[in-house]
Amino acid sequence: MLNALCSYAKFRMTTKLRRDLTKTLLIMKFTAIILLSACLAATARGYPQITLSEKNVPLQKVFREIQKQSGYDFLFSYMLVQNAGKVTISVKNVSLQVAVEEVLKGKDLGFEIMEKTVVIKPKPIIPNEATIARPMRIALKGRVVNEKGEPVVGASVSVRNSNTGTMTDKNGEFRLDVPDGSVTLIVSYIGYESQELAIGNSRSFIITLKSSSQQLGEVVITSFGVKQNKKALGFSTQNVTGDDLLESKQTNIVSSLQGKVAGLQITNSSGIPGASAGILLRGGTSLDGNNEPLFVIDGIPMDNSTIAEPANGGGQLARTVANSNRAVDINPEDIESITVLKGPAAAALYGLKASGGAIIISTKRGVAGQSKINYSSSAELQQENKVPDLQKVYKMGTGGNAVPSRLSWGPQKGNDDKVYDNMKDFFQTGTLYTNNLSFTGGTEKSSIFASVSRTDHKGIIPNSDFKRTSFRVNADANLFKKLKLGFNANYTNSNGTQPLQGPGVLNGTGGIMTSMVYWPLNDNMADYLASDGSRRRLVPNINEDIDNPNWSVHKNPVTNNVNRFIGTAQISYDAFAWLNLTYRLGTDFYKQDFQSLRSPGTSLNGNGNGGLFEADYFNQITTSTLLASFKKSITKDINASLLLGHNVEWNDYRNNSVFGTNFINPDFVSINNVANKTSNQYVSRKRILGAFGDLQLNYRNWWFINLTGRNDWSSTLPEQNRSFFYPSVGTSIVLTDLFKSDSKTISYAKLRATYAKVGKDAPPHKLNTSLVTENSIVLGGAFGFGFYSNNTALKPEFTNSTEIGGEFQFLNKRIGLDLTWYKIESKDQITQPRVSQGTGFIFKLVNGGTIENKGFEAALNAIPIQNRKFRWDINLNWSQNKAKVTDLPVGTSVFRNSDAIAVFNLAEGASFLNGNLYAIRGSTYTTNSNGDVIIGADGYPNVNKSLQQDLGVSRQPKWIAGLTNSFVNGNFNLSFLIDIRKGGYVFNGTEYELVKSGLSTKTLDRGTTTVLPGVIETSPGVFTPNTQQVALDQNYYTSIYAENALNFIEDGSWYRLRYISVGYSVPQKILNKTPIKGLSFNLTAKNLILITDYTGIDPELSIAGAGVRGTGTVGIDYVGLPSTKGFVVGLNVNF
Amino acid sequence: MKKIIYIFFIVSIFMFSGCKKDFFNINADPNGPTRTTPDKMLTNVLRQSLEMQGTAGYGAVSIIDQLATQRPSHANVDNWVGLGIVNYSFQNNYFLVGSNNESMMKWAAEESSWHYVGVGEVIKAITYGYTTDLFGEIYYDEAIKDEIVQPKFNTQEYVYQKLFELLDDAILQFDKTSTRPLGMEDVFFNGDIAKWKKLANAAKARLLNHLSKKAAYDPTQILTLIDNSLTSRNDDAGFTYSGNYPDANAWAPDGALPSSAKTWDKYFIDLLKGNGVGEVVDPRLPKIANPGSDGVYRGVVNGITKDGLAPDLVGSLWGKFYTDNTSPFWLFTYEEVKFIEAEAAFNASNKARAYAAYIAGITSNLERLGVDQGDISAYLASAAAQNSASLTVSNIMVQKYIALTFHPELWTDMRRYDYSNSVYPNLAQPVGANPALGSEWVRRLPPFSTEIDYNRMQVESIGGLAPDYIAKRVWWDQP
Repeated sequence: MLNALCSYAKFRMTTKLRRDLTKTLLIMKFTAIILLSACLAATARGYPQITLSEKNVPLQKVFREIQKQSGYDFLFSYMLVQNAGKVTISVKNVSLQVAVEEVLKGKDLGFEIMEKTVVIKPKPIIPNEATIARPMRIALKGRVVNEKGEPVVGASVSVRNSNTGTMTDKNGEFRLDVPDGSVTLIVSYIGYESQELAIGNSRSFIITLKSSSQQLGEVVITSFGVKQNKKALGFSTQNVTGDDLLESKQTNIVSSLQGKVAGLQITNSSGIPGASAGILLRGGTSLDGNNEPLFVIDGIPMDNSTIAEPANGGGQLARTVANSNRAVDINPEDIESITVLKGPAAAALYGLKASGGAIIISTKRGVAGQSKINYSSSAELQQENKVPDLQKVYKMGTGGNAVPSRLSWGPQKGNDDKVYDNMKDFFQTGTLYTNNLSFTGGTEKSSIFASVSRTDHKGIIPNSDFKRTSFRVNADANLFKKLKLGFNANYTNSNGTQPLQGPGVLNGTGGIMTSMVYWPLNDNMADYLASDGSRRRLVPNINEDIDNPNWSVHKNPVTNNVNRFIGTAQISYDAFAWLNLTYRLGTDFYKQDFQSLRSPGTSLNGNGNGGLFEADYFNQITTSTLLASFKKSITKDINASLLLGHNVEWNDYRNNSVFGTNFINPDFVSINNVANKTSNQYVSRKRILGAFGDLQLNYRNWWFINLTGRNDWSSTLPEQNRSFFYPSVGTSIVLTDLFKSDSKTISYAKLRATYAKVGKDAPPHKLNTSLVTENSIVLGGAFGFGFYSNNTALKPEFTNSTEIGGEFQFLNKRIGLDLTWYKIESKDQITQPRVSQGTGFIFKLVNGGTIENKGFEAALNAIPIQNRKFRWDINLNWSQNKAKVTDLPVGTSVFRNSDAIAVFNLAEGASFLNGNLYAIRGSTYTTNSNGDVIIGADGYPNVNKSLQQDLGVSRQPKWIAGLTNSFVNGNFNLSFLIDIRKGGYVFNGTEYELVKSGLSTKTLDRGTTTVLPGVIETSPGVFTPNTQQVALDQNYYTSIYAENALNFIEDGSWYRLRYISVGYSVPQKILNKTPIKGLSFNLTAKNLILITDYTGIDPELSIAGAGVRGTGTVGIDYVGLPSTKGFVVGLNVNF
Repeated sequence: MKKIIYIFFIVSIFMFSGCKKDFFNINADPNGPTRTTPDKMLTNVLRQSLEMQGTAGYGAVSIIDQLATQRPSHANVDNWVGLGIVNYSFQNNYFLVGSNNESMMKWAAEESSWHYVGVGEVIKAITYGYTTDLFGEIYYDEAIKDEIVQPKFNTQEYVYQKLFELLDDAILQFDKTSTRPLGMEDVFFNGDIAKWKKLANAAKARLLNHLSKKAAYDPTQILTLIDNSLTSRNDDAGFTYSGNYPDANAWAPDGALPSSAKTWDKYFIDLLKGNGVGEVVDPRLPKIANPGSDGVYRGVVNGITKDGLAPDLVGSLWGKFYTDNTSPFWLFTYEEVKFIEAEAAFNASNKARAYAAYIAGITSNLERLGVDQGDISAYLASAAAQNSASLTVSNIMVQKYIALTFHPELWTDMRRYDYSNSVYPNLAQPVGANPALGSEWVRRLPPFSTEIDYNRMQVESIGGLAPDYIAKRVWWDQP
């Protein structure tokens, strides 16, 4: 196998071989899938059957025997089992549950089956009132269902403080004779929260179990699909179930995580269908690198990149399009759960890509014995959420004169003048339809999950859409007793059409929103065609004109089409009871075709005679992982497990693009129809090799120690610095187990701490400075040097993190609290700062710069009310993070986010030495040493545009919180998410443009005179308050007021009702006579309420999307398109 | 158990050692080489030197009233408050020209292609010359060194010394045998070494002429250099652009300079209308500017924007002799040589030579702009052109101001003559001139923003953060 791996690496040298190999792998995979499907013909109940015959033996021996027969591990304290004495037993072909019950009969021991583990626990001490023996027994019956109303098969139903118990049958029903006087019925099933019910006078019960996310003994998936007992983890993780994700009805799985996890900040970029959503865990660790966490799906890394800026776009495309983050290719309904590993600690084993944390996605798999077809469908209507207020008084013109212009500095409208609400008229009602069909089923030999889904989204902007078609087959097979195979295959096609949304972070015309913030109110924007079918011009002079958005959306569309395949094959071998070997090979690749058309007649600079940009991107990540997992009891008190792993990763990326202008035939769209064209190619390759180990020690099941170490070798670093090692150490102590506490008030308490270090390599091909041919830099052909100077002496960068936390459960687990404090420091970053021009380059790649993130996270869940009919759940996630720059590279004092320039020379995202990572740099009025604005002799302040400075505000919120409430009442359920952001400033670049255009309500004072606040320098160093009256005219607003960035800084706090969802499950009684097993309906309202003082489009928008490096364009709102609100009706049916 | 672990490790070790070398050997950049031959760099270096001059001129002529602001976004360039947005000639000297030129010279020297070294030195002297004239202290010794991220400034006096050395050395290089001859890549002269030598002499004459306030000023040395420099427009170092961006003239709508916000300044248009030039309408006016919609030529008063006027009353900047996509653009013209000669001869009290050069300069420029021979004769006979007896420095400098439209040299000239009204008739400070300067005129450009951010100590060392720093005279501007 390993030899094959090595030759595989060599195969990749030729494209043809690579293609062949990929094809072979595909064929292998599909063959396997077909075979597995065939195996599914017969379905049978697959529970381990156990036969025991032992006389007077220690319990451990019986457990070992059961373990051998069932494959289930036993977890117990030696002392406990030792004290329980010996056992005699004889059973034949019984279920595991029954076998263990028999073994423990008469002992003071209870048990719980979790995943593949049987946990042996002491039985609670029996309180007095229940010890009174009553001869009478009462017959109870009932039915156990999950939240969707589906029967829960095999759930354990027992009576507290008695030996009486049973399991539910295939319809989820049970019958149980209980001693009279029994008080409480306990219903539990793995993956669900246990429920306790008062028996009272009831004799018949319908019990709804709620799937658990926070539970004692919960199993979480950490590195490489390895399941771990959450108890043992020394770091904070949070788990979101697939159902919770679906509640928010988002197309993009990243958006659906919003508010669900403490410390996770999601930033949507715009309301355009398919627009990217950025994701940030615990602040940013890199000045200008990628700060997004690693995405892992079914054990392999997955690409979630966003195209920031297609190269060679002719200067126009740049950041003007709401590109998708590629996680949008994942069908949310395929997801079983997402585990968020928040810091470097959690992700130490994933290596260098996980220094920003990791999002671990597990997709659904077939379950033995449960054949099920599920169909769900939803339809949504959308409209724009919030648009800026515009003045409705002044008409087209300049200087108060009615002259043809794109400006609204003309005269006041007369009573008879017709005015238009151009912005409102422009948006249409958007629609979003999703349809999903899935099948699960399996036998004890094999199981399968298959799904097909389709999403059709038409945006609120005419001619914008996003369509996704996804197919998935996940198959598992137990070939031999100890050998398991698993296959996942996911093919997705995503495509869409978008408008040029704005100038992005570059100035310029052409974006539809840029035009809208200029369109004079006395001109009807909807009337966009002249009588001859050409574009009706707003202003006759083409250089002064702007494109009509209604014309743009049809004539300047941007389209893209992605074909993607993600597949894994896994083989797992239980060599011994104490050794498991797993090998996994996976690949994620896609090709994206991108086209931007600028039709002849556009005002887009340089494209007046037509322009066409076409690009295709190919990206592939292939990973090979070998894991050996050992388990061993060292002494009777200490259990150890060791994971050794080896990981190889191949990254390949290729981008070809061509840009042409001057159409020969004006309406024929093809790159063959342009007179001038330029093409460009970018290729990158990277290989990483990793070896790692993870040792876990467990002392009496209350003290856990975890040591990890990893060594990476990366192709991107110089040979002498290529290899680097980094460790982590963590511990957790379960206080409630340590003190064997049985308190109901404090049901669970755990403390944890972890220190971890993660290394990170350089981007590929960045050692020597290469010559370029880009024709914006190289004039006259041949070669020249570009913007970037590389560095042959790069070293790996390191991120150190320390986190301390605790998990607590109170009042019988009705309240859970998870608290975390962390400090993360990223040192010696590999960054490309701007440097002195004396170097001959704009940017130079260096090691340098330190960012310190400190933060606090709290997750609270509570069940304030829970009874037979009604249940109320609260989930609150709260977090704060402070990112500080403690060192900048090469002695500089500011790090400018090149991609986050809002308005050139006015405002941009930047990081200042010993200041905030998320600062804004901008131009301001000149002030004296007191900070008073200096007023000039003409009565107006001056703006010094050549000296921009720290505006003293942070784009990072003070804290963010997500509050989910859900209520279940019989067949009805209701849930809603309130999303709160406190603090965090936004640069309102939209308002800036509105002031310039004269449409801003801030310019309604025009024509009046006033005394501007400030001081006059009467003699050098002597200042007196200004008293001079000046006119608030066009010149003041557009060349003085507008040039002070501080006039556009606004608080971005918000409260929003992200969603509210009502569901109804049709009662089983009604469905009993139909083939339908479950039927539910839901109604969801998205973004129904937004409360904010922010006056722009939406404080959440990040204008250039998720692809921007470093701190991105969070808090930079520059004529982006509004987000949406919508109503969704949905249906879910099971057969 | 042990067996299994051994096997696992042995196989792992085998994997690491077996294919490690080849496995990682993929990091050479597949997208571009790290080295080439000097001829593959030359065209870019020459064309970028023109772009650099364009940006140098952009800052200069925004100050000296040739160019004004049409829209408010650039208004505070006009009144000298925001000169930090017209100073990116600093960047272009090092980034667009310097990084490429240094590598070209290095690779040329390594293969003994001495003519490429000479060309590189001439270009370096000219572009560094513009840079120090605009900014005073600049990076020279520590510029463009791979290991230096924060270079130190050199004084202008030192830089001038180095530039003279460069030009002297260039002449020596041109006399050597070059392994690789200059060819078509030389878009200025097509490989004509004689013209390169003339250019080197002209460039040295230009720099020496800047020292007119200095005791060392020697007009006869300048005149000797002039004798060995450009002798006709045929010797011009220039390039005719072919069309759209990036092949457009820097001053065209498609060119590299910010285009949309600019228009002609009233001072310049009035000068062409004869105001202060004998009230004779210059035949070059319709070649250079567009009239407004009513047929009247108008410029905008510096510091006051066009907004508020009916926009169509101010003619467009575009599509004329200097502002068409396909306009030619020169690093050095025959006219400039003639006006340097006129000034030097005048200062050397050789009025006859000064007058001859003055007339030759005017005539050549009228011819260059395609003025009819009849109009040329009429102009030379009018009150606009002086006779040998009445010729003043003002006459020479005003004609140079018109003939070198957009040229950064014009600001150097104006500073050398202290913005004197007696040299530049009717010249006035802009409306709302930067109050930080008191009533002083601008004497240099502010430090480039990257230097403030990324090499702040150096900027502080020259006092570059002071609000009135731009009123500080450069070395040659002081006696």
